[in-house]
Amino acid sequence: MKKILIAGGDSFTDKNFASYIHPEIDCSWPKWPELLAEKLDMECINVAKSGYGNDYIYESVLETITNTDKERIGLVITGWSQAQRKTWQETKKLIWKVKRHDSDGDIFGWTKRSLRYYLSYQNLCQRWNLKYLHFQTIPLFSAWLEGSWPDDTEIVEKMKLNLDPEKIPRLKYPGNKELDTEFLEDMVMDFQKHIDINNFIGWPAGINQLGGYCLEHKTTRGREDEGKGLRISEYDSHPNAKGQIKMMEFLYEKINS
Amino acid sequence: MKKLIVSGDSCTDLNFESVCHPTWDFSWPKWPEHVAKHLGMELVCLGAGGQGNEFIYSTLQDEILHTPHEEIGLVIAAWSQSHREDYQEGWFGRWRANRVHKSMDLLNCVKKSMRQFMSFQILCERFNLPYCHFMMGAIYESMFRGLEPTELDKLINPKLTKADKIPYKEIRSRELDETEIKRCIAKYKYKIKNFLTDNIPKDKLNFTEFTMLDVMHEYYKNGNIADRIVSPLDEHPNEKGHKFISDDIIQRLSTYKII
Repeated sequence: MKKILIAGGDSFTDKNFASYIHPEIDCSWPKWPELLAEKLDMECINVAKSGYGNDYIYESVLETITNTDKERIGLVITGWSQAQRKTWQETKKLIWKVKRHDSDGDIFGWTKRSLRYYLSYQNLCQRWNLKYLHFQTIPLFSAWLEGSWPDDTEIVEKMKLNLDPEKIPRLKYPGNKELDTEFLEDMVMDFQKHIDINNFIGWPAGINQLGGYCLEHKTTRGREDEGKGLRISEYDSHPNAKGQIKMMEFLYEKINS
Repeated sequence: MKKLIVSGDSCTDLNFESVCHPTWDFSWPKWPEHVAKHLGMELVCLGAGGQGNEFIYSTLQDEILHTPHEEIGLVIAAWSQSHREDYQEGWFGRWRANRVHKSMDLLNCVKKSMRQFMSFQILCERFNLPYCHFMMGAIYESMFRGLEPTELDKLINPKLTKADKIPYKEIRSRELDETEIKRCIAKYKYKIKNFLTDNIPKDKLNFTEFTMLDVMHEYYKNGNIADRIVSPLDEHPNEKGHKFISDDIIQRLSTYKII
């Protein structure tokens, strides 16, 4: 019987990903978890969901591991998302719902919550002696500090009106960006002593300034010329079929190293 | 001396103060202090009034990770109501809470709490730490019955009575909702160990949740409960109530062979 690969994450990992910006594009190409499972000769359980936050990512992996025969789990691999997202379950429609940013708290509290999810995930895998890896797929907090981009709905509206989506103003970060970035970087480094950095690809937490990296930046959004042809479009930076293969190859290389 | 690490809500808060009685002295020993004394351990108590289960799990996780594991003698989580929503803000990570979760329905609040119980258990087992947990307040019943005004609400508006409740928002119907909540609890509780307030019978959907506060109230049902609570305005345990809770925990630690 084949071993199982369990994958958690957001839109970059979601096997049912559909582009909101380009609904006409068929995005049913294989995603990196399925490609990686095939390469490793494993069965894939991919619980990632587009747009969801780190609360969903941790809880969905926890549920899956708890309900799976531990002997059968060959690898657990998780791509974390932005700290500011908030996800919760709603019974009536049997779905998870998401807010692009939590209405309570601030970037400091959200980041600390995500760092605790890293640790809870690590404990979960170590408790059962499971092989595991994790990484930031996209930046943990920098997008929030830079001023959040408009959501996909706004981009679609601008495109319909033949306006340049690049000119849509970003939400302004209310604090002192430089000072708060430094504080958040210190917060991440304070957690380093608890993180098994050999299992965290791109530690520290995907932060470039500290020598870390996000999977997105190492694969589909690397140097400008490298990323070309690996993303869906200029306005939808999600990986296309080639981008997903590139992500899988990068992770496969990391697993073997 | 080994450490006893404890977290919880107002019933586990060493600095408990009653908004109804701001001039009263509440500096009596609380249950964690009694338990620590009995076990001969140094107490690290993280409990804080008004907080929920995310606070409880997070503060225990932070403390366990910052304490050399060989120094930890026992970890206790005294869980709270599931519908509270905790968050942190500011450079110093000040904890705050919404009394009722803004977005999540009660069934999913319970589900999230169950995952926190699991995560706590996994954390302690990972580091081979002695642990136990229990419900201090009711996980869902208080919200399900309609949330009564807080002591502060009653103080601000003395006309408020217990009948002035925040109503429960039905998902399908009260009956179906409660069955689903109980099904959810039963599903997880069979995976949860060292839970001191666990009495699920064989017919797993026909159980009554009980809490440490219920234990105190039930015991004194035929006696004078007023003797064990702060006042008719504030039903938090008083000095005798805390002693009663600690005696019960100590007994259960032995029954459950925790330590």
